[in-house]
Amino acid sequence: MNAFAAPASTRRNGFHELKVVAKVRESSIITSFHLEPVVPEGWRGFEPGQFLVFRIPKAGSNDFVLRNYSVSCSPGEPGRYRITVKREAAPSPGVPDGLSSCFLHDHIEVGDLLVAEGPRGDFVLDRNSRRPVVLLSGGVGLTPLVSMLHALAATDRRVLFVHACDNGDVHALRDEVEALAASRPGLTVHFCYRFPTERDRDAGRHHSQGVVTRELLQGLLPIDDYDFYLCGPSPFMQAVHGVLRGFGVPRQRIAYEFFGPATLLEPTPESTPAPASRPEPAPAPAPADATMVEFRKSGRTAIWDATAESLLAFAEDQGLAPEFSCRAGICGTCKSQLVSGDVAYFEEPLDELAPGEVLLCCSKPQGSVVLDL
Amino acid sequence: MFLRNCWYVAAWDHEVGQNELKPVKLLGEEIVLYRKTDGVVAALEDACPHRKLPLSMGRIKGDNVECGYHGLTFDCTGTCTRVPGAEKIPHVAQVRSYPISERYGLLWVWMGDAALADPAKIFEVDHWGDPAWGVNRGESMTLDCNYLYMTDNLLDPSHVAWVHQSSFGNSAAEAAPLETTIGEDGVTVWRWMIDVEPAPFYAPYLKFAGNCDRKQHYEVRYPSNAIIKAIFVPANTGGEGKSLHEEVFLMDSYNFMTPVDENHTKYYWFQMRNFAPDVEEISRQFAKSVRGAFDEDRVVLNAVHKGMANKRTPNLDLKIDVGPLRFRRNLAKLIAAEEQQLAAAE
Repeated sequence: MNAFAAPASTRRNGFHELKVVAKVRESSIITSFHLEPVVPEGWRGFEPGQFLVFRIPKAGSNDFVLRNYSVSCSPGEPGRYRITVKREAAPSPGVPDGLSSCFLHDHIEVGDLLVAEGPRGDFVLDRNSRRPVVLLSGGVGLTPLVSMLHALAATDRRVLFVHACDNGDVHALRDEVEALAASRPGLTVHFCYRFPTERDRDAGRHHSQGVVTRELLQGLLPIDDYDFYLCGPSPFMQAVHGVLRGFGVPRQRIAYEFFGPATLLEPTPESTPAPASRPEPAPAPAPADATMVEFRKSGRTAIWDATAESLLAFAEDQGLAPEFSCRAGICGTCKSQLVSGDVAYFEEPLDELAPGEVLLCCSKPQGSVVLDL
Repeated sequence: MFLRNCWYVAAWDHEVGQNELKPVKLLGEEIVLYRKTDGVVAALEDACPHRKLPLSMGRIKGDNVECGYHGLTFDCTGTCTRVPGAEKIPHVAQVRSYPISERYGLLWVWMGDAALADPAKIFEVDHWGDPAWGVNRGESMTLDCNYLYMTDNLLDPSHVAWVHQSSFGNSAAEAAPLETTIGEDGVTVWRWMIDVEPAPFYAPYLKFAGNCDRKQHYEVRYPSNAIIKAIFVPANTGGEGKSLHEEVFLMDSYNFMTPVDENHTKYYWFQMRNFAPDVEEISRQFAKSVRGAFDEDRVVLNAVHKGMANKRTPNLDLKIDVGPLRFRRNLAKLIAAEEQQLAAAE
C-alpha cells in the first residue's frame, strides 16, 4: 500500500509448508525463524518489504488465524526466508497474550512446519528510483526495512536507517544492520532509544535518547528529495508521518506499513495511558484527516487510501484475500462484519444487510472503521 | 411467483381461428381462447365447474362455449347460461373470464384483478405503424425454463459473444464495459462499443462501409417484456448522448415472455428496423436469423434451468449479473407488494 511501485500483490501463490531450519534469539523479546519450503520449488522470490501470511492454529481447535510477518532477510538468498517476531505478551492482566507470536515463540522449534502464503504485499522497495532512501522503523517494525537495507547495500544509493525502540535489550538485528552499514560508504544508521539502560550508555549502543522528533529528523536529513519507508506501531507511524508531512514531504514519497495488532492504534480519549513498559515510542496525535481501516482478525491497520476502489480492493491492497465473486454488490460473497465505524455504499447492496454487516465490494469507510477480517 | 396485474401475451392473433377453441396456459392457469361471431376474442378459465373438463374440449355455440361432457354453456363473461336437466342455473356455475386485448398482432391477457385491466398498459412499441420502418413478424417458442432465465438472458449482452458467435456476436462484445440503469418500469443494461467491426449478422445491412460504433441496449420491463435495440453508426460518430448519424442502422427487437408455469416459458417476438420497410426478403432473412439465434438461447437456457434446479454445489453471481439480479429483485418486490395487497383485500 502506498509504495512507489505498482501493486505487486496480484500474485497468489497459495499456502505451502515451510520448515523451520533455525530459530535465533535476536533480543529478549524478539526471535527470528529461518524457513525453507518443504518443496524447494515452492520458494518464491520476493521484493524487500513483502510479507508472508501464516496460518497459525488456535490452541484446542481446528480453527486458525492468519498473521502476516515481513520477510526480514536479504531477497538475494534464494531458497529461504527469515521472519523476525516479537513475543507480544498481554499488555495488561485479563487480556490474552498475542496468540500467534506466543505460539511461534513458545511452541515452534527447529524442524517444525509452518504453513504460509506469499510473499506478497505492496509495501516494497522501489528499486528503480535513484533517490536517496530513508528507512524509519519503530520496534519490531524494522523487519521489512532490514530486508530493504540488504537490497540497498548492493546499490550506490544513499541510505539513512533510523530505528526507534525502548533499549538495547529489545533491539533486534542490531549487529546485522551495523554490519550492513559498514559494508560501504553512504549507509548511515541512527538508533534512538526511549529508555536506554546503563549498559546501553556504557557501550554507546544508541545515538539519541527519547523518541523520533521533528528536531531529530531535521538534524539527520540534509535537504534532499528522499524516498521514505515507514514501518512500526501506529503511534510511531502517526508521529513520523506527521513530522515528514510537516517538512513538506509529498504523500507519494512516503511508503508505509503498519505493524502489530491494531487494537493499540487509536487511543480513545477515555483510555488509560499506555504503561511505561510498552515497547513503543510515545503516541503522537494522529493526523486529523487520517481515516484508519483496521482488519482485526488479521492484525493489520492502514490509513485508508482515498483512491482505493472499495474496502474490498483496499483489503486486497493490504495483502488480505477476502472471498468475493461479483464485486458489484449483488452476490453477498464478500459480506463481512463491521466491528465499529460506518461505511457508505457507492453501489446499493442487492440484499438488505443485517446490522453490523458490510459488503466490502461496494463500500468505502466513513471515518475510521474496524472490520472483522 | 408471478406478477398478476399486468398483460401477458397469450397467443398470436392469427393462432385463434374462427370457430376454434384454443387452449393456452399462463402463470399456471389453463385458459381457453375463442372468437365470438363478431371476431372479438374471449378468454375463459378452461375448466367446466362441474367436473373440470377443459372447455376447450367442448364446442363453440354462437358467442358461447358448451362443455363437451354435459352441455353446460358459458358466455364470454364466464356466466353459465345453460345447465341441461337443471331447473335453475346455480350461481356457482361460473368460470373466470379474463380481460383480453389485441395489439401488434398479439393477444394480451390480463392475469390479475379485472377491474384494473387497462389496455393502455400494454407494452408500448415505438414506430409501430410508421411507414418508414419494416417489421419482421416473429414466431413463438416454448422454453423448458423459468421465465426469469429469459429476463436474465435479455439483460445480458455478455452472453452474445459466446452463445451467438456466428451471428450477433463479435469479439468486441467481450471487452467493452456494461452500464446498468435502473428505471421505474424495468432495468436496462447497455454499452457503446467504439470503432469495432460490425457483427456478421448486421454487416450486410449497414449503409456505410468500414468499422462502426455499436450500441447494445438490453431493456427488460416488468414483468417480462424486453426491447433489445441494436444501433450501428459509422466509427467514431456514436456515443451516449450524441445524435445519431444519418446512416444509422436501427433494429428494435421486441421480446415478450409469458410464464406458462414455473418451469416453462412461452416466448413471442418481432423486430422493427429503420430501413427497407417493404422488402419481404429482408424480413424473411431477419426472421430466419433471429429464429436461429433464439434456438441457440433455448438450448442454453433449458440446460441452465436444469443445471440450477439440480445443482449439487453453489453457483456464483458475477458482475455481469448486476442487471439481471437487480431486475429479479425489483420484480420480486412488486410481486410481494401485490400479494400483500391481495391478502389485505381478503
